[in-house]
Amino acid sequence: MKETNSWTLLEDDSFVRWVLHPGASTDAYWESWLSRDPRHQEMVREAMELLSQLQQHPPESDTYRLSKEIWDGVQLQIQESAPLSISKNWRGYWYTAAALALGLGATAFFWKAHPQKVASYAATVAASPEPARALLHRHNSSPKPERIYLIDGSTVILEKGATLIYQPSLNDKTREVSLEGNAFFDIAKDAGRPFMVHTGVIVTKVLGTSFEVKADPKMNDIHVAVRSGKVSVYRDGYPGTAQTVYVLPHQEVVYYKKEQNLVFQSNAPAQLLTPPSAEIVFLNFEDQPVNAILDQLGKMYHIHIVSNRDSLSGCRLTTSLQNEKLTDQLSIICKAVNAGYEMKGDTVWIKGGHCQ
Amino acid sequence: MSPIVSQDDALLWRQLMEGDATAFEVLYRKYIGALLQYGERMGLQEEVLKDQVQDLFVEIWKSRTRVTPTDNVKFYLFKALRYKMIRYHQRSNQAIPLDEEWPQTEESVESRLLVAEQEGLMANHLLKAMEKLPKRQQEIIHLRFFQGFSNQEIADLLNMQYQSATNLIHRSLQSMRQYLQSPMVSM
Repeated sequence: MKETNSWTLLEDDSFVRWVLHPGASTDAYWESWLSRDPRHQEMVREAMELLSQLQQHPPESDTYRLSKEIWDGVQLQIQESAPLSISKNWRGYWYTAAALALGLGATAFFWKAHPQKVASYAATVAASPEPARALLHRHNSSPKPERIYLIDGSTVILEKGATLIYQPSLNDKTREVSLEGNAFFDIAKDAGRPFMVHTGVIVTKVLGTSFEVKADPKMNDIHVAVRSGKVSVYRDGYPGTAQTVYVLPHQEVVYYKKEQNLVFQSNAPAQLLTPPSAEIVFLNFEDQPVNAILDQLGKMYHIHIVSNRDSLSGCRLTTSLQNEKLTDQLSIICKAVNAGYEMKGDTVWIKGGHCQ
Repeated sequence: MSPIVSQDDALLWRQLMEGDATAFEVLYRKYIGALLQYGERMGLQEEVLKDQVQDLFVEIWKSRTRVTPTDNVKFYLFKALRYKMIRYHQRSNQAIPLDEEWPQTEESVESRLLVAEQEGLMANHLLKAMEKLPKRQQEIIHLRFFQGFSNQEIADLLNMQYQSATNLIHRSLQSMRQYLQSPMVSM
């Protein structure tokens, strides 16, 4: 029988599997082995140290750049023979690192609409050819405005009694929500995916940079007031017709239900142009467990984050994820723990991940 | 000996076989890093490695209707890349085939002392020790500990008997240990 030491442990298939892929089949054995003799703990510590060193890669390699170049080459060669359409949102993931450096332009507007049928947007989504995805209904029953975080980096402040219906995942072409009641929108810029707010018969579409909209709560009509940037407002189903009204900063448009008319106002009431105050979720972490950070993100966006909690259990992180969109937040976390992620529907899968 | 594979892969592979470009891209993203690190560890020049990996994925896409179903995509990709590297070495006739062991490079006491002084970190010692190994041993250590393949998977990848693979891992670890524990580099 060979003497066991940290090096011979490395030759043990079961030991290596336990370290690299903790799981029920190996955990029990090695935990009992550990408790049998205090020297075992030292051996395991050393063996784990050796293993983590063997997992280092020479730092000079630039696999990120290479993988991008190769992928471009693959696509080029494939498209010569038969066209291959790669979804836009996936391609976007390559550039998340760059987006971090550039910062995100924000678009903000306030919307106030009286109880309207929200069913139309839900019906639109259900009827779309895409596989049905769960819609989130968020209703603010508290007396204070509530901030809702969307994964594209936009935020919506729902006033008391308002309801927002939205898809918790990213869609290829548009970002669409349905609103009943009053809300303030702060929309992240994404030229490829216009942001649309459905309120019964009226649609507000975010076109340009940053702006803000407000409306009068006492009226039985729909008001859209813009603080900065530009939106277009039109009747649902009639985009781009004479019915479309463009709203610029400090302007307002009112939809009178009785007359079924969109009326342009060149001066929006000043009190409509200030966002209501709502609590902010702070994402500044100091030596926090990565599992807890992921839990907080999942809760904040109302999405599912699936990870190997065991292998991440030793990971701690000091970082600020404030003012980032979800993809960037996940990139930062994943980079820190050597993991990757995929997002499907409203579920994020964290792949791999370990700490030294 | 059950390899740790995610069920996702079997599904993604089936979708790829049905012509799903997104599944293809997901698998590419998932394994490109590991494949590049393997190629680099095997000493391939960047341009060569790029060509080989690009060919590999183009071939997979073009023959997607004919590939066999697998639930171990990582193994499949590594096996395919390894064949490509061997064929490249045979064609180019300039490098030493992967199936043969590289001769040990003799190294002076002075150079080892120098290394010990320059490299403060244990990790660097271990990487240095690994680089002293014959090519085939470097490969097996990389596949075992960096890539996390099981002994059985490694035996299958390298076309060896299971026992030969575990013996080679044993010998490789022994050599590294001896190198690290020799008085010249101990601290």
